[in-house]
Amino acid sequence: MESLDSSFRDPSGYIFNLDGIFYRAVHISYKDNLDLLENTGLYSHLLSKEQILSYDAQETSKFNVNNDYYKVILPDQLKHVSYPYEWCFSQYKDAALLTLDIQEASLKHGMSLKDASAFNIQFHNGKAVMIDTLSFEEYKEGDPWIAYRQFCQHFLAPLLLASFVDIRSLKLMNVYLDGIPLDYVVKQLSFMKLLKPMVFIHIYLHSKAQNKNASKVNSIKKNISKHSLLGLIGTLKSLINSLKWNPKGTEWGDYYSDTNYSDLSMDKKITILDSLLDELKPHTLWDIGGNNGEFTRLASNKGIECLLFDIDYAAIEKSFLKSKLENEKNITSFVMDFTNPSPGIGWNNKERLSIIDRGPAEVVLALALIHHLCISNNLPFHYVADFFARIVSKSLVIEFVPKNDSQVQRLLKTRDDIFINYNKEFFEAEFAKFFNIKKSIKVDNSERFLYLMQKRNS
Amino acid sequence: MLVRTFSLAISIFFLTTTNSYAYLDMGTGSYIIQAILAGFFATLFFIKIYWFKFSNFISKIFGKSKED
Repeated sequence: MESLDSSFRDPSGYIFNLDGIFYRAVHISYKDNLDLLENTGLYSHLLSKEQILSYDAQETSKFNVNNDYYKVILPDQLKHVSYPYEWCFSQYKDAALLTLDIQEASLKHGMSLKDASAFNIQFHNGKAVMIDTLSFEEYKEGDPWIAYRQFCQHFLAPLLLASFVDIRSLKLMNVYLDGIPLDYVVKQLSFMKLLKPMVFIHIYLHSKAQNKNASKVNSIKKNISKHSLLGLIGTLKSLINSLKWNPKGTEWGDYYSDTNYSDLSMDKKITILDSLLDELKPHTLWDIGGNNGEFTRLASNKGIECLLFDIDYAAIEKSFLKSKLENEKNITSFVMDFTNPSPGIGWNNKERLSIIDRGPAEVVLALALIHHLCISNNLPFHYVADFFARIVSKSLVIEFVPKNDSQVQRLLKTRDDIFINYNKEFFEAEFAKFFNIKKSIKVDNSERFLYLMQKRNS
Repeated sequence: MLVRTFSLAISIFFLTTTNSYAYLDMGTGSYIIQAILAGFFATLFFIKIYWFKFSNFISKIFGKSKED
């Protein structure tokens, strides 16, 4: 059984895919820790709080794993994978607090997290959940928290930069796969922010200690009590709980009150989409550029598993908070710019998957998006159609926004109109190379058209 | 607190630590911070615990109880 490309760091086990189902093989060296996870009651404690992905032990002989492996487990299957650089502020904060809650509970059960990677957290059924069953090890009295630096780099650093400097700092996790270096954070924070006692300790001192002592190996040994570790976790929790981000002046904050739609045409658009979704009945849907998910929820309310993508942190923040408040289980929100979608990164460019490799979706919604791609980003229709054909397995629902629409006029206000082919006829001709155009419906009281297109050869 | 953390900052430059053999490199600096500030973090932990007990006691007197 070959391991996934992302599953090579920890010798305690690996993940493999068999017939579309993901399993985890547990190495014999991890036997004691896995037994401890179950026998101390930590696993059932975390499960009762929905903080960890559940798993079932499998008959190991059914799998082609070598004798060094003690167990094969079948985890609850994730419906989607999102990465930290695709989260909004509150998603990130929830993931950080979950990691600290788990470490606190682990210490109380005689265990400790041996890693604190943000990539170990996923949003499953609307909630942050720990997915790595093999991250726990026996806690030995006197030992430090081995994952403390990783926690600060993966969680604290991005959240501090997002809260104190700029929300877009969260995207740095795309560059720094093992978290944002602490010395980098020190350079970004103002003197006054660095003087906050816990920022000073966890970031400034931590960074300086790293730099000054990285090459020294002389030994000192000091016992660090469990109470001390719980105190450390407490300070991190308080600091992260205190961090806030209030969206101001973002792109889409008031989008729906500032569009070319009258209430009537908005209602009409909702009615058209509603009937298209009833007709298509997909299992999965991606809403690209879906703002705060108003239309996505037409689909998710029908039980369709939805992924919402938007470039704007405020829009995704709103969507995530709404999902959390209303306990929505089948909508996952991503901050993503589709003119530069998440690439494959890490070792061999395969450790973290590109968004294309995480598809395709049965249905893709692309509402009020085409003008942003073609006019703001100069993309020819052909390129856009080609891309959508790669992420769609069945149907594309796309809105054409004509040049005389006020939203397009706004984009053209500050630039020359070089888009001589930006018209409905050329749009249809180019998309017809990849899709069969099934329906074209004019949205009343607007110049816009909604298309239902079926991918060719599907 | 700032005076204390400042003096700790100075002491950091004169300390070294052991190697780690776990699959994750803990980083020498992370060990040093935890070692030097162990007493400080433990003190904060006990303050929190006793403050919680104290506030719970006060709440009980006035008829309100916090859940653990």
